Amino acid sequence: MPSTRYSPAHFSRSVDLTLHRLRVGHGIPDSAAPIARIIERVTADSFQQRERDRMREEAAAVQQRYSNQALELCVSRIPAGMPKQASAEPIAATALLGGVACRGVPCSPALLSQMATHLRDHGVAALRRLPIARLLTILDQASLLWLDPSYEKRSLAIEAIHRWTGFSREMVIHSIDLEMRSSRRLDLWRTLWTELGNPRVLDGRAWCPSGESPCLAFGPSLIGAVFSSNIPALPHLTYMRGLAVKSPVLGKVASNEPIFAAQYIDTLIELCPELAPALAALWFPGGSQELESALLSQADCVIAYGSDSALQGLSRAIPPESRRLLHGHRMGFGAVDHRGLQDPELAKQMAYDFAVFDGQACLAPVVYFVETELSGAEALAQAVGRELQALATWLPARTMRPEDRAAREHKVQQWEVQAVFGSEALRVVRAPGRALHWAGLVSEGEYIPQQLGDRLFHIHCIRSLDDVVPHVRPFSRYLQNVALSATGPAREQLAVRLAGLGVSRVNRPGRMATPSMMWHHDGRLCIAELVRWADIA
Amino acid sequence: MDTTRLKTDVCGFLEHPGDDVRFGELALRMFRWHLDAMPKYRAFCLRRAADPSRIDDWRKIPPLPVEAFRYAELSCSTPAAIAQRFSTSGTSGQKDPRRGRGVAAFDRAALDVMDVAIRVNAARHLFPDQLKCRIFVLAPRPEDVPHMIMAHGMRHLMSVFGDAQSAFVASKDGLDVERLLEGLASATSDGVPVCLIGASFAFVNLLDGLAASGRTVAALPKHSRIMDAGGYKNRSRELTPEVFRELVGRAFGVPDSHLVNLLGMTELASQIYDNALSDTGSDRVRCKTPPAWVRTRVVSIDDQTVDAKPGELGFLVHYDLANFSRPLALISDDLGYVVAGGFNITSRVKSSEPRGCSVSLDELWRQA
Repeated sequence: MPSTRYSPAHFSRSVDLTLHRLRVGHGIPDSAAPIARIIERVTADSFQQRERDRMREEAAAVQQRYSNQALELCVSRIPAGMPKQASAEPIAATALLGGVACRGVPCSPALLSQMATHLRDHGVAALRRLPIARLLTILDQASLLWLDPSYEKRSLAIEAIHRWTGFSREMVIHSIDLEMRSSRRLDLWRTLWTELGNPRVLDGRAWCPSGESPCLAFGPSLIGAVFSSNIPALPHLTYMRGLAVKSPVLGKVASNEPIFAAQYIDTLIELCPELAPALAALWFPGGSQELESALLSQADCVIAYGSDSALQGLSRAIPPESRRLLHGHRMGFGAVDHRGLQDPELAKQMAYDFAVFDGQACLAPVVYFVETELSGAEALAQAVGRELQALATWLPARTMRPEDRAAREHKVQQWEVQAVFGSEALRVVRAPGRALHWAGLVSEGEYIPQQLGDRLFHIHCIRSLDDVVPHVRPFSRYLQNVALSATGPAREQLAVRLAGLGVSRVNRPGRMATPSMMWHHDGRLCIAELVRWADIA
Repeated sequence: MDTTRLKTDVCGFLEHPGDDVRFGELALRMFRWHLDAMPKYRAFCLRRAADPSRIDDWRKIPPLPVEAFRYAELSCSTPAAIAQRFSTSGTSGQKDPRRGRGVAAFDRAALDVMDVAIRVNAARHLFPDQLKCRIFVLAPRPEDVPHMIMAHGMRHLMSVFGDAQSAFVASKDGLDVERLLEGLASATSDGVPVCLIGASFAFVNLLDGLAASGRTVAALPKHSRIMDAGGYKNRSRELTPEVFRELVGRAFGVPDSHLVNLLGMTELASQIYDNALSDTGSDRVRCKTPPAWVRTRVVSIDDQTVDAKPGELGFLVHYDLANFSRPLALISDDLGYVVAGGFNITSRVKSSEPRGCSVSLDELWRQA
């Protein structure tokens, strides 16, 4: 159990949790937004400074703690009660920075099948014995533990994920913080209340606003999950969603980030050993069809993250009657009108949106449309560049493989060539000096999407906000997340049009990467879509 | 700028290579001319150097990304004075499908210098034994494919090093396998060594086709050689260089020492051969060896003004004096590393697929 300490440090952390919540706007009703904004502005500087200091200090402490230490981790977790498995073997993937080795239990279709049966038979029973209130308390405690810099698993995960993926320690810290701060008791209860009408339908027959009579709700008897590696610590969301509907989860971890899932499972089991028969994590190489089929054919609900082509491959292995929540490629963008452009915070907010998770999240913008001329946009781009430079002091860029660095350099070379030799009006801004810390493309006219990420950004000039819809309409299938800075009725009008086109989240600049766990991810309900109902008169 | 004098000096250097100082002197003379004669190239150089006309070391000449050839016809001559336009291959990691192939524009002087380069280079690296061969080129005649620089170069090569029965054995519709096999058979019966030249994919497709129909080729006469270039461009299965040489060497009975790979880029007037035939020392490592008038640097990915360390992956930057009235310093989209006596290419730059649910531009384009 987490220790409850009423020290000044603890108090300050609680204050900062609240301030963070104000900043990301989770659960703040419209009516309270103006006051929240005032508090946010007043506290911004000191809060940000504390956050940055804390992250820097923690990163330094973690580095110090594990310096000269080779790490070895097992990425598989076998549910309690299963027969002893063959010992774990090194997985066929390596750490980008070295210094950490990962082992996993060798997978076979037979093992997956056996495990699925075990999770269904024993995991469901174990979870149904626990009241939902208890499960949500455990999840809240897990989040609190993972927010505690002195929690050993957190330090280990930060160092190991940093070494494996090349993400900076600070970025891993930030990622874990964002995930866990939006996974608190209040968030969970609120999600369950709003999506189910009454969380107690998961415990037994209970009144509920939907249905013809009091009802019961059941989560899937097995959630099969396929994780991606683009955001550190992301698997926690799927395990949390599973437990919130009393479903066992069998997760296949990504070769590029195999570490977090097993550590999180350990936390949950530490907090509540009864969960042990219901949680499992495995690694096998992505694209192994036989193993994927064995995993997915056994699950009555599949949650998967990945590229469209990877998801297409998985889709074929999912039985038609199973539920599926497949999160494929998405396109985010920002739009700012001429008044939004005057906001002195805009460049900083844009820099954060482009830089967080090094642009690897589906939430990341691929462009900011800005209502201005080319020269105004170029000035904004310079300002965003300066902010990126400043941001790198507390959220350093990830380390990349040489081939990826070359691709990034090449991309900027292409922009520069296009700006000089091409017919379109383009400007390219880049970090001073030879190292390419950041670079931005400024364009106007026809919008052509660019592959960004890793501190590259794109600003496209528009004459008015009316240009946004035609620019993004060709990509409507991919639209998801939008930052919109505009005033008056124009903002809502555009937001509504974008929503009609397929956008599932409109927020303001600086908040693109921080949805709460309550958001309609890809326009869907994250809890309600998992459950099956029974009306019992 | 006295370009006639410059041309004479450059051709002189090609025929009788001088030292690094002389190379640098010629490179800088050319560069200053290029700055004056190509305003867009000057605009690009201004992004890299405050005052490019004062650059005093050939290593500091800003290399132009080959991508530029897709947007502009880069020549010191006016469009009317362009004698020949060749298409670039269009495989350089291009993501925007609406952008076409690039163009390399040669005026008369540039063609003349290129022809000298082709001859001197082949004499050094493909025919160091000064052998007269029967040359078969697995490509259409230059008249049929005027935009293909390889066909132009091979015609010139054939006229200098080939015997009268040398031939192009493809048409625009594809390889004429029967004609090639007849040609090889007659060379074998005449006892004349063969030099077989073609794109790497053409060899693979030829041999796959022969294997499928259960046919084989008789071993080529002694001293025969094979030169491949250009990679695969998704037009055949892709082989590693080792597997390619194994396959081709076995099929034609040609020893590994007589299998030469060539790096040819339409944007460069010079080709870069590997050292299979030119370097017969016992401890040689196979690598690309630029001729004396080409300097290839492998530059650091993170700071392209400094050389990559030996063995470290970097961008290839070519400084080619034979790019006479065209930008002489080019940064290619090949990645490679330095070895003693030259360099090796590992791969082309390609952006890695984004992971997870972040957007892939390819998908977006397919969708749009």
